[in-house]
Amino acid sequence: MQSPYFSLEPSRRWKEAVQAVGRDAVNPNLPSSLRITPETRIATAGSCFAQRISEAVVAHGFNYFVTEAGPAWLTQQQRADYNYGTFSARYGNIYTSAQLLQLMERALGKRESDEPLWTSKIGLCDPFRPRIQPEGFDSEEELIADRKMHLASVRKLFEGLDVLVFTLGLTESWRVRHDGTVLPVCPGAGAGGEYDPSRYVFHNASVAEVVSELTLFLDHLHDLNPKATVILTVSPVPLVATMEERHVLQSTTYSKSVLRVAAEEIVRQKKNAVYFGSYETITASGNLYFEEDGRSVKPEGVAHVMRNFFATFTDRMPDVNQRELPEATPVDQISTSKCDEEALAAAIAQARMGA
Amino acid sequence: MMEDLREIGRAKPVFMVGDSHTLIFDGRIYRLPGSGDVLAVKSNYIPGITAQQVSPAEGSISAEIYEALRRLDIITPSGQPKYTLLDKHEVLISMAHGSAQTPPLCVFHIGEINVRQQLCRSLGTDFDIVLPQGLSPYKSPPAEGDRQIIPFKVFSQNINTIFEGLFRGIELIRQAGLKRIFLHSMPVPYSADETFAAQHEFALDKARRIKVSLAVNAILARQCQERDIGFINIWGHITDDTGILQPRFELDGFHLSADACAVTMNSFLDCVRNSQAKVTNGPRYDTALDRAAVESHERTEDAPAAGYQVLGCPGLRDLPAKDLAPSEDSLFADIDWAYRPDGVESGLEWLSPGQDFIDRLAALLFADEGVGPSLATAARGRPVIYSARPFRTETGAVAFDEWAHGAWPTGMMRAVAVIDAPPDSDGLHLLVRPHNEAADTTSLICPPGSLIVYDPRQVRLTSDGGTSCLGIDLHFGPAVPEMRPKVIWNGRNCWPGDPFVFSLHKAVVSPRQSRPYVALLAVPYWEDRPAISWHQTAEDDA
Repeated sequence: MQSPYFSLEPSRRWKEAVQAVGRDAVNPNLPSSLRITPETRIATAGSCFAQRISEAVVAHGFNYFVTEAGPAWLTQQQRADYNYGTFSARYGNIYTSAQLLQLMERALGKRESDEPLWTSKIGLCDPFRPRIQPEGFDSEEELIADRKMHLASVRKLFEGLDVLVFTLGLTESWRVRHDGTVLPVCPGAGAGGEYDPSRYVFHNASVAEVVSELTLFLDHLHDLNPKATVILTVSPVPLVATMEERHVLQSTTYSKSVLRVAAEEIVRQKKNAVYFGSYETITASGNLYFEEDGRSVKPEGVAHVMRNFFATFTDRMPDVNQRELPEATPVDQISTSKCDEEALAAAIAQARMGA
Repeated sequence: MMEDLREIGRAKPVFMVGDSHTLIFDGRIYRLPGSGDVLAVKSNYIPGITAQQVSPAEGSISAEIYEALRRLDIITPSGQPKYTLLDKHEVLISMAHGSAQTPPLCVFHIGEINVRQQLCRSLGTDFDIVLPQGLSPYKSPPAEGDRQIIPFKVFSQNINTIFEGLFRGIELIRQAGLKRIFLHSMPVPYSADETFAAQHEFALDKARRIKVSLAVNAILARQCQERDIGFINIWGHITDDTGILQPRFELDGFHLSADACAVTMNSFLDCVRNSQAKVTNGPRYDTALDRAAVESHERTEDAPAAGYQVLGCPGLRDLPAKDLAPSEDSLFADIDWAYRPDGVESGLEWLSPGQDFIDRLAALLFADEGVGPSLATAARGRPVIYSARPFRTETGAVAFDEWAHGAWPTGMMRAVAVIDAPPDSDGLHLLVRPHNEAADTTSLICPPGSLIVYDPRQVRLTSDGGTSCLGIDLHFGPAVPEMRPKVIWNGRNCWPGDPFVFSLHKAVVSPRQSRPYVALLAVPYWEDRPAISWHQTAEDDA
């Protein structure tokens, strides 16, 4: 009987699937049963690489689902500075599965933290999203009110999305020692807060932990929104630094391996999760898609990933910039009708006559 | 038979320009307690005027504003402001008028339309703001429902953008010479939510409308402070402790009542009195110096390098110090004072002299013998003491004022006379601090009977602690030919009197109630004054 390898599809053989295709055309993903249409509400979350995905979703005219969009009159600069639309809600980068689960639980009101607000050189900031505003918040009251509405928006997001693209970035994180609150950055590392080893502790997640956190997250999501599907990807961006006592390359390999394995385990277990190989697309290119620093992914790399994304999940290759964002009217250019003023002037004239 | 008319005096005009909130002020007359001065408000309503329209483009004033200023008769058809007294022609007009001409007090009441139609609308149904701590005197209502919070910094940026044209316009008007411009706060919104929604194409609850107005007022107040523009904010006087308007200040569901106008005028007077506007009577002193017949009137450019001189004047110890009484705040009451120090004279207690004290001081300082000739030389012949303010030093450092070098006209000199000190004291300890900060500071110990004459364009004096002493802060100035040497007490105001006022027939000096009275008025000094240009509209071109 013939070896089963002889009947493998070309995509499962290196020679045909990689060597013959060329590094700028490889698609490590097989066609998916998940179909994304222009109406599909796509949300994104994750590490920095997730921002590139959201930009591409918008640029290609797909339905980027944002529940914390800010007012329509924001200028493009204000929108960018204050991270409106950078993420589907203003949660900032979510580097770890623990952070994602924590966000879900906070949005559901199932988890609270006594972590105090952080101060930094830019002002008062939210320890759960310290760089969400370029100059921090004006007051504690503003931050608390904004956080409350942010979490409400997150819940709306999870309730309303069709697809969440979540890019797994790191296994290393910092946590509050006494209650396990997960922080997006190390306190005192430039984004605010003050490093206190008696309060904060470094943690490097295992495969089992990541699987457990993602499983819990997916269960919550399913409870909220049974139709929602999560596309898991792994960021190809190496670690900028490691707290482990070893070379950063080894930590990068560990981190990406754990995340990739965990993603694999999840998609085998969960019907509402699929895997998308952006990590493979970039790393298979050798150095083709990395900038000189060996970390940052070039725009061509992102474009390649998104070509694969659309080829995998959609029925057509949409045009870039197919959908142009409507130009918002800045507040100072909103029309000021004279009509009401004249009516009011008449009213006061009448009142004065009677006075 | 008709009764004879009886003159009750001349009202000082207060001009008001702006939206429909100015209408209620028009023609109202107020009498000041104390001085008895009468203020008469003349307003000019510009329908639909918004903040952006005041100066829609760089370097220009809108035609509507220009026309309003014209209708109020405070600028000429060519755009030159009136009342600024910069040349001989205007001096003659001033004398014919019987009082010094003055830059008018002008209040802008503009921006409320922007608040409603742009800023309130920008919140809509979905958004809210949280006011920063300290910005509101009230407890800020919590964000309601599931509204997203607009970062206050973003909201502030919008306010600044919207009001850019207003401040640009005010600056242009001030550059043209109308220095005394004030800005009125946004009124308290009080219409019912249903009424507001019916009048507008959108709904916004009162709590958020109040927050928007508070935010605007806070930002306008800061902008005004940075620009030395008086900001009239009456909210604290007309609302309860939650920011809700008291019923007696309501008028028609939208505008404020006549009672609120009176509150505004009181706040306005406070604003005028506390004005730190950088304005001086410089041209008048310079003109007086030019016209003075006394040969010894030299320009201060010829002053000694040290900038000060200590003279002995034993007669100072014989002045009737027991006649000096603590001075009252009401002596700031005249609205035309150009400047009142604000916190820079801590440790100084100002005293009121009797007429006998003033007369004996004049006899001492202008005598043909004793300190007289030395003083005439040291003060370079300034034969009028425009301001003689007795004081007692307390503990701590005391700056006699913080006027910068450039703010003093060339026609002025100053002095500190030491009258008395405790028996165990060696006198008043002073620091002579050159405006050139690279130069050395000099310490002086001035026993009673000392007279320290100095050029305020070169140095300033600060008390160097020490014990309590009694002294007089003196401002010397030139006289126009009609004037004879004299000493004038100007109340507590540190800025000296106006040479033309004292040369006018029937002129009096401050304070009016029981003592001489002076109207001291602000005019631009060192700037070239362009005529106001206005924005050419399409209709104008047509």
